[in-house]
Amino acid sequence: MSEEKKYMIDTLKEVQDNMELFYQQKKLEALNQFQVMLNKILKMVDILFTYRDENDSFSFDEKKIQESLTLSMQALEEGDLILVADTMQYEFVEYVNQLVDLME
Amino acid sequence: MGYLERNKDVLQERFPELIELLDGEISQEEPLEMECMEARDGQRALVVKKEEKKHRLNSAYRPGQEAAKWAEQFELNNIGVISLMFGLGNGIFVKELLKHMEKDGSLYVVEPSKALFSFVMEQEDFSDILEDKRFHLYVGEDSEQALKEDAGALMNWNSLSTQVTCVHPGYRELFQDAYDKFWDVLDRMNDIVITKANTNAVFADRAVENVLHNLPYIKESNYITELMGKIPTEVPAIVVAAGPSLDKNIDELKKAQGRALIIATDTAVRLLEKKEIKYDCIITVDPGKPAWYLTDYPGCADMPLFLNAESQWEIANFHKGRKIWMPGSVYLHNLYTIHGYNFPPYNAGGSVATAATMLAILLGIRNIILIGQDLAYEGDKTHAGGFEDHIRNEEAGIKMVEGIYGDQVRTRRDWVFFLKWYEELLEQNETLNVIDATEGGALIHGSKVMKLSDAIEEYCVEDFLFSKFIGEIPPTSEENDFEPLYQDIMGMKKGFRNIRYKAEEGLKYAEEFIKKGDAITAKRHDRILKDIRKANNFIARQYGFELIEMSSSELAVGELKDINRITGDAKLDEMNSVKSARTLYQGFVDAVDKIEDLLLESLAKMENV
Repeated sequence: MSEEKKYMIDTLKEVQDNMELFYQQKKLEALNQFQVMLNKILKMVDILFTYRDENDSFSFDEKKIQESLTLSMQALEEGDLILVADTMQYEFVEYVNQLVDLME
Repeated sequence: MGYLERNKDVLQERFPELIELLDGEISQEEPLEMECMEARDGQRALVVKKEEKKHRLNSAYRPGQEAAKWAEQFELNNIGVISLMFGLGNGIFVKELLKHMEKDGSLYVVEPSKALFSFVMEQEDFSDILEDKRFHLYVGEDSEQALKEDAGALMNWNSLSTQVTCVHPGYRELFQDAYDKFWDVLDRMNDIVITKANTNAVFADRAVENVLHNLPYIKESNYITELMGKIPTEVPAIVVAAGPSLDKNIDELKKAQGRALIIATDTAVRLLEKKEIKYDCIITVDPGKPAWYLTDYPGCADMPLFLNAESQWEIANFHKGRKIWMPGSVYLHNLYTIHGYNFPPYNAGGSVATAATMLAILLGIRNIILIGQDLAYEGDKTHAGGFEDHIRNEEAGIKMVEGIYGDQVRTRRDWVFFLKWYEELLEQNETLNVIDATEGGALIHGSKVMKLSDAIEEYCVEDFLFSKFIGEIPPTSEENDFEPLYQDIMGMKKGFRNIRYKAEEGLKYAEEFIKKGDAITAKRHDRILKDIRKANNFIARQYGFELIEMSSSELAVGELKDINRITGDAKLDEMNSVKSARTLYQGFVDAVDKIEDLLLESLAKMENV
């Protein structure tokens, strides 16, 4: 398994743990952790782009990723923490998980 | 049959008081728009719009999974877990809690919005939840009081460490005021449990000693129920407490003589006696009340005395008049109840003055005039007559509260506790008229503030002689066959012996179990656990067990406070419970050793009465 793939798997697990805090209404802890996670999430997106550039057979829906992150940020601004967790968990994480399965 | 009809059927069985919320028009102070939408996984999610802002109460994707993750954070597998939840929502979170909860657990849910309750009853099938006997529901912003009564009655010291409190996602943002109130009620409920446990532990030995000393007085006494509802409703009660303001208007009391039931708290008796002011009866409840409050004033010895079996025995011994038992002693309560003499529900509030107020209420009196009930300092004075009574760590609990004149007055933590007790009492009893004629001190919200002279003029209008009233009621034993009750008291002699014998036997079993640890054979393991269970049941059935248990109550707030906690490791939990049993058995043996002589002495006295 490549280092990139391992990073993706570990980080996705961290995002899921973070979302669990949102679902458990541990607001402060969840937001603090999410702040730290944001950089890691952006790094995951970078990895996907780089991987696609280096692998012709690998492709993904950029728009879907962008939309899920935008929706999460909007929900965050509106204080709708359940929607933050929902979009991250069921849009972003689920889709990226599928992509990670395709990575070597 | 639609959801509403199905839910109504179950509500009718378990929560009939909630049915009317579903039938009538609901006026909403803060209008809510509610919508049930279909989540991605096909389940339903609740969305509430308030002041143009949408509040999502469930995941729009997978509400069931969300609820499962949410519920995972709570420890619900301990013994007798009491869970308290703010918000019913569409029931998904409640279902998840119930799923994880043991059979002996209980879940108390407060739904602050009648409109939301009414909406979800139409939209979702709640029948499973409503049928679940572990589930209790309170609807509306003022429902916390009922919650406090129900859950509070169930809570004890051991359940505090395993108590689960939770809030339905989104409810805090939607119902901030009710949310704050919910936590206030919970804090207060827990405070009461803690205070009670600590007080019991501190006073337990004294209280048990008092019960045993007071047993011989049962024969010539009455109990409160015999007097209930017999005093004409227009007769007011005057509760005489000994706060510093009593000096201001104590002389006015003379005008009320023969036209009210004047209840002197034990602390106020000396002031009344010194001034030669007549009163109708005395109340004493504190197990540790210094006896000189009464014994220095022989004039009070013949006045009717309201007390409970745990009240200071030296006062009861000095007193020669009619004694009337109040609720407050578990032993006497159980003893009387078994023989069909039922005490009313009772919440004494923690001070002799609050107990006196409750006494007036139990007697059916609706106009209660308080005097000397400052619940605040006057300067540095705590009591009338130049007497000071300070509490431990007093400085730390000092705070300012609203005074009767709209100013701020200095008070301390025990008085704040009593103040809240009065305010809750008035909130719950709209027809009760409490007149605060203290003429000083803290404002009791909900009371009518008046000068004593004005209150007497307005309320003390009918003639009433308590001495005549009580003289016409014979002691309970004269009109009832008290022999079976006496036999039960005498049965404590054998009961104590049995408790010691079985506790010593249980100790041996527990020691063996602990010593052998993993080396114990499966057969012996099962045998010992069975014998321990049998010993526990046997001990709990013995006459006088309540007193032995009380006498060991220090253990409950100390070594055994986590007795209900389950670690999840079955072996460790089993070992911990056997260790707890060992501690209890030793406590029982020590308790019998400590009080058996006094019991025998008291029973001998009883036989001679």
